[in-house]
Amino acid sequence: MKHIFKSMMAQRRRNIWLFLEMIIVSVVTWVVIDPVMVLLSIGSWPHGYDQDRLVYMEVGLIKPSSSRYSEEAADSAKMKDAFNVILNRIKSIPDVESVTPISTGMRLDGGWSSQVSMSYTNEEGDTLRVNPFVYSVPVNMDYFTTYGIKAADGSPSAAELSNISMAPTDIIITESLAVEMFGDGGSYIGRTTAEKFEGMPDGRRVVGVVEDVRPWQSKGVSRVMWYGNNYNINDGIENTAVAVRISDATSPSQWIADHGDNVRADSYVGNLYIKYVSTYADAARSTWQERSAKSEKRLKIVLLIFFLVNLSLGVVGTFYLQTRQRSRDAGIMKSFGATCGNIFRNLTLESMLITFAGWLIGCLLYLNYAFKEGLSAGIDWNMDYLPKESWIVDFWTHYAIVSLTVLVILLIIVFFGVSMPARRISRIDPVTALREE
Amino acid sequence: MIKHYIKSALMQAKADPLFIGIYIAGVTLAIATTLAMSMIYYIKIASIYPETNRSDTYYISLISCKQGDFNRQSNLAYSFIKDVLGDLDGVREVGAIEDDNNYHGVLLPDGKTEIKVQVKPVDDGFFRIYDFNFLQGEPFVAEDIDSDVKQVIISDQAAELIYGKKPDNIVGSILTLDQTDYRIKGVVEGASPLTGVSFSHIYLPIVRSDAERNGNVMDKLCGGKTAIMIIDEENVEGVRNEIIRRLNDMTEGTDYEADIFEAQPLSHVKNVFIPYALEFSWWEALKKNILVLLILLLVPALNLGGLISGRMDTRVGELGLRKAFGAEKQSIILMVINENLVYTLIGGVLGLILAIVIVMVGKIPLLNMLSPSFGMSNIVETASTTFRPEMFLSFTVFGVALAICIVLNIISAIIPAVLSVRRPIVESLNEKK
Repeated sequence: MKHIFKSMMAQRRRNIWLFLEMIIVSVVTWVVIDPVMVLLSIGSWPHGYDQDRLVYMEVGLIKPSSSRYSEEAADSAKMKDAFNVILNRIKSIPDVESVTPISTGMRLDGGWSSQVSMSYTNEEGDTLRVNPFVYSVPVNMDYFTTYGIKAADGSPSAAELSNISMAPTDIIITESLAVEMFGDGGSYIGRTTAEKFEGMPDGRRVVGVVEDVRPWQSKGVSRVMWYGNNYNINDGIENTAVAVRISDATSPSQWIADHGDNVRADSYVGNLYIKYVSTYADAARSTWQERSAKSEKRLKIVLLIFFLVNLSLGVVGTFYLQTRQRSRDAGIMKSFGATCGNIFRNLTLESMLITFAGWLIGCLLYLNYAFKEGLSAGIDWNMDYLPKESWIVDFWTHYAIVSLTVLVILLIIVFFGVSMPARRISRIDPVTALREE
Repeated sequence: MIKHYIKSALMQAKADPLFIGIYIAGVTLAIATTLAMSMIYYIKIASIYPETNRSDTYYISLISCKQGDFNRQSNLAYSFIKDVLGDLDGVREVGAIEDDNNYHGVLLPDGKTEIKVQVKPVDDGFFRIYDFNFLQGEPFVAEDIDSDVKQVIISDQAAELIYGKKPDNIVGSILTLDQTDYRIKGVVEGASPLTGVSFSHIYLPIVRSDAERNGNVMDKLCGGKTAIMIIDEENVEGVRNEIIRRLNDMTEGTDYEADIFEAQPLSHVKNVFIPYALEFSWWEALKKNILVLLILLLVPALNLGGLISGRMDTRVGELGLRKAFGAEKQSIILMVINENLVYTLIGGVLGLILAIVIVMVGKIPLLNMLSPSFGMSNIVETASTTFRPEMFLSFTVFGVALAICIVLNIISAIIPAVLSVRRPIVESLNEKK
């Protein structure tokens, strides 16, 4: 190690450029890697529903200007019947397990969101506020079973919850929301929220708890609440869709390939028809939040690749330039008994040490910034929406994980950059080197 | 003198091809990325078919309507665009568009298959603002807008998607869009999805909603449209003041208040940097890009500086000799900078080619990466991205490429050059290589 430090000091004029570059690349790598890691991590969390077994269908309305329009079928009761006929036709297709209508406000894909601020009394008797995301569940329409959302322990089953009769103040909540409001343990069924106002004299009442559901692809939000909705297609035909649960004997994309065209061709009932069929995953990925998150990830990855390629070129160039000088040193070392391996290791260790020093300073510089601005929460508004047990929320765990990742990336790049010239230097013939001297 | 620098540079390249290769690769990468970024903004800002009036184009997309505590922010109603904005002094032309991200399907001639298309409701002013080349038929006129007549204008790309080839004379033919029959009124040479505001497969005439026709003041102001206006720069402030005055007149005696936001009418250039901006500051708009650009140049400059510094060590003897024969420090520094400029320019040409490839491969996702583009919020997958020569082959692009080369060269070469000439002549001449 002493020899390596001496060698570094001897080459300090050349190595200073590399060192400065390493500091800047460390900081920049931190800036780009942090949100990418957070987004990738959040993206890998389970959705809490069976997205990979769902097909998404959009319902279209034939307008009066169309030759297919029927005045008679425009009656609201006839529309309701037509929609039920369409649902039953879909259910009768092979490999369909269940269907549920999902208009705006029911759809778990992040395309729409609504929040409510709710007060609750915790175990210590303090009144606090929580801001869950709110959806509605079409009652008696197999919503939870179609989505594959599982009931939590102690709650009515998903099938029961799908068909439960719900009063206007009844709510179904996710487990993390239940724990936050009422503490861990015990039954949550029948518990009520703290606020009581006109129209809700007893607060909101919990009638069911489900395992955590994450509506967005790229956000960690899992505090979700559902109200009951006596679904009527006439209330929002323009935004109506259907979620179809496919059996595990096939995949949604295969099912669409086998049945998609027929579904659309045979779906005309009254003034309604199925205008669009896709996998649920594709539909969820096409929302503007997801496109925004994808764009953000791509930009960061492109910048990261750019900086790492530059770094690698810098390392190769710097060590290559030292080949002549280092070849003499290597020749002398070999004449004193050093092996190719020793010399190779010394050179690579030297570059690793420069990397480590640059990384350390870069991370300390970023730490200053992180204390002020915080670490990345992905595309979530802030850390409050993420599960508290996640590594992303704990500052030092988050900082340590990303810092180590940055170090590993830099070490790998530098190692590959330096190995070529180092190998060349280590293979010098001692006689040739000494003759030049 | 230039010949001498080129000769010297080529001799060094022959002597040490690997080093020069690494140097040029570093320059190519740096220039390609900064130039790709510049090209993206150029494509978004420069006048490109059919958006040839971009320098005079302004947008109003949001209006604020208040009634007591109820505050609504929305796009504009067509009534407001046509009746108020269309009647202003200083406004040369007004058009309206609606950004429609819903699914739209066109039935193919086989009567069974439906394909997804991009549809854009527009008015007659749209075709006066944007310089579309009509291959068949003609544009919408005022009577076509807000009428019961079902007609469309389609692009040649859409015609190819629907009919399988560029068809002859389809004006008057029937097209089934979303289960409704429309007559084709015209066929235009299609815009590229890269010019997002004007791009669409199918253009429909705007139709007012019942609420807008019969409703109250708020319904006649708030809707789903964006106004596109051609205004001379010197008239913008006057137009804005007049719009505010008209809004006050419209809401006088009612309990409504209406206002357009501080930044509107928003120029096309400003809209590129902050789409739908309510307030605009050039510093806020540019600071992220400036930082990215600085880093994109600084990191490679450090790299290249290190390489040049290392190279200078092998030329210490030569530099000492030059000084012994009377060369001044400035001339040696200039010599180093100019020799490196040869390699930088080679890297610049390669970087230009690579930047064009990057943009052509990256397409819409790349354009949207830097900032979400107005009008490109949800381009359908059936749209094919076409590139026009004027997007890349322009003096502006070449000028920017050259400027980046020169800046990069100076940043990377100047410090090593200055450090090398500081050594005393005797020390330089005695220096062992």
